[in-house]
Parts: sequence; C-alpha cells; structure tokens
Amino acid sequence: MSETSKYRPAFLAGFRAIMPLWLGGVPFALVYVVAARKAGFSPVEIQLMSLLIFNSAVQVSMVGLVAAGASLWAILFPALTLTIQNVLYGLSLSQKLRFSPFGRLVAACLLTDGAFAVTVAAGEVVSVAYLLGAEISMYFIWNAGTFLGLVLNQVIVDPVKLGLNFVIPLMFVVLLVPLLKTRFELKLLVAAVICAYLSNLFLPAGVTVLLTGLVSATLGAFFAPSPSKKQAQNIRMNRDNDR
Amino acid sequence: MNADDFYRAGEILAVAALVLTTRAAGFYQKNTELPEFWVRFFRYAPFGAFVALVVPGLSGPQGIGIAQLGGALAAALSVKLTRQAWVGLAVGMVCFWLLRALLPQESL
Repeated sequence: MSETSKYRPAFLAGFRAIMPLWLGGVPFALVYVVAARKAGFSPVEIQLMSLLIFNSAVQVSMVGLVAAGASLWAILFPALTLTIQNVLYGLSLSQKLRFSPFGRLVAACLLTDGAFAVTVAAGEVVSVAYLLGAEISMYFIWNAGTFLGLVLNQVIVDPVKLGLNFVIPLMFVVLLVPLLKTRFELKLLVAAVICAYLSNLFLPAGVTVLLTGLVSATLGAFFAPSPSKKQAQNIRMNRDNDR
Repeated sequence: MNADDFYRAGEILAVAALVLTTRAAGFYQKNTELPEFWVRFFRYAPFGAFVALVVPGLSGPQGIGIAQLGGALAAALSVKLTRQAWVGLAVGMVCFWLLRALLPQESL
C-alpha cells in the first residue's frame, strides 16, 4: 500500500464528517460577501480574505469595522479576541496526534472550531489525516461559498435597502446561542450586553469588541464554575488512557 | 493599484498573520498544559466578542430597534430548537423583514 492510499480512508472520513457544517458555511459565506461589498471591498479582496484569513467571524467583523472607519489596531484586537481559543485547540491536538513537520504546518494553517470539534468527537480512531480531511473540507466550502456569493451579488441590487446588513449581527447571534449552556453563561451574557451597550455609546466599535471580550474572558476565568468531581475524574481517566 | 488598495492589502495580510499566529501557537507548544485560569480566559474571550458584535446591530433610529430585536430573538430561538445555523439565519431575516413591513416607521 502506497503512503497516499494508506491515509486516504481517514482523510475522506474527516472530509465527510464535517460536511453537515457546510449547511452553515455557505449562508455565512453569502453574508460575508454581502457585508464586504457594502463596505467597499473589491471581489478580489473578498476572495483573497477567504483564502488567507479563512475565519467567518473575523472576516465579517473586519469588513464591519472597516465600514465604520476603524484603524488597523481597532481591527486587529477584535480579531485576536475572536481567534484566541485556537491556542487551546492547537495545544489539545498536538498532545493527541503525532504530526509530521508538514502535517503540523498545514493543520495549523487551516484549523477551525468545526474541524477541532469533529476531530475530538471522533474519539480513539482519530488521526492527522482525519483532521486534515475535516480542515480541507471546510476550507473548500468556505472559498466555494465566497465565490458563489460574488456571483450572486451581481443580482442583488441594494443590500442596505433590502435590510441585508442585518445579517451581520444575526450571524453572531447564531454563533453565540450554542455557547449558552449553563446558568453562569446566561449571567455572563447579561454582563457582556451591558458592557457592550455602554461601551458602544462612548467608544469606537473595535474598542468595544476588545473591551467586551476582555471583560467576558476575565469574568469567565475568575467565576466560571469548576468541573464537578465526576467530570474532573473523567478528564483525568481520559488523559491517562491517552498516555 | 493606488495607495488605498495597498493599505487594504496590508490590512488583510496583517489580520491573516494574526489569525495564523493564534492557530499555530498551540501546535508548536508541545507538552504544555495551561493553568485552568487561562483555559477559561481563552474560552470566554470569543463569547464577549460575539456579544459586542451583536449589540450595535440591534439599534434602530430610535434606540433599540423592534424589528432587529424581534429578528434576533427569533433567530436565537430557532437555533436553540433546531441546532441548525442556517435555519436561525433564515427565520431571523424573515421575522425582521415582516416586522419592518408591518410596524409603523416611527416605532422602528
């Protein structure tokens, strides 16, 4: 069996495992294209961002901030708060999987929340090829969706008149809801809404995102309930099994 | 290409470099276990950023927009019930359009 055909089943399994998320990826890509066109980005810039940045939340927030006239720093700080969880994903995956130098580089370039989630959910059978399959699957649909959006955008006359600019906050509502799992997170939501509302009255949009991100992160770090004794025991057992 | 195009390209490259750095940081720190405090800190940072990106979008000309708030609540409820992001987007937009069409302009 050649090297390539040895890894193909795992690669295809990962590629297929993330396909249900395509249903969410395509509408988000269309939202992103509408927002970017409204902010004055050219089709080349829009596709380039999907190829190089490959993060829906960062791309949509970036075009919104550019439209509001934000400075580069005011764009970079929110991007940092939106992607900082990637550090955790990378740490977790590098302890779970054995990467070649090239595999590690590609996996790092294309890491997303979705690819991390399906890889972790796959449990014991998981491999680097599986992770790369999931990542490349998402990269493909995100860029194809962006291209489709650019084609369809020629048909849409005036996005603002149609109220399509509302899809940006709506997209973040859709991303936020699955994170609300416990009573603590509901309380944190209230605190974050108050912080964002007050900050938005006096500060530029980029600073509001950064400030609210930092307030939530700090409140979460100090006050989020610790895992129960049973959960902690399960985590320890999984860790021992991995070793 | 004019100066604005170069500046825009620079912005895109800077954001791409930042995102790549956060993606690669964990992959190249072998055998590092973060303290629980930092695990939680990293987990809740995007939470606040999402909220901050929603709140300004809910305003209408007279403060909180009823159509926007209705659309957002409908989207949240749909995602909670169906666990499908595209359903949330579709229901939220339809609700927003309906409220915008039905309510008098001064109440929006």
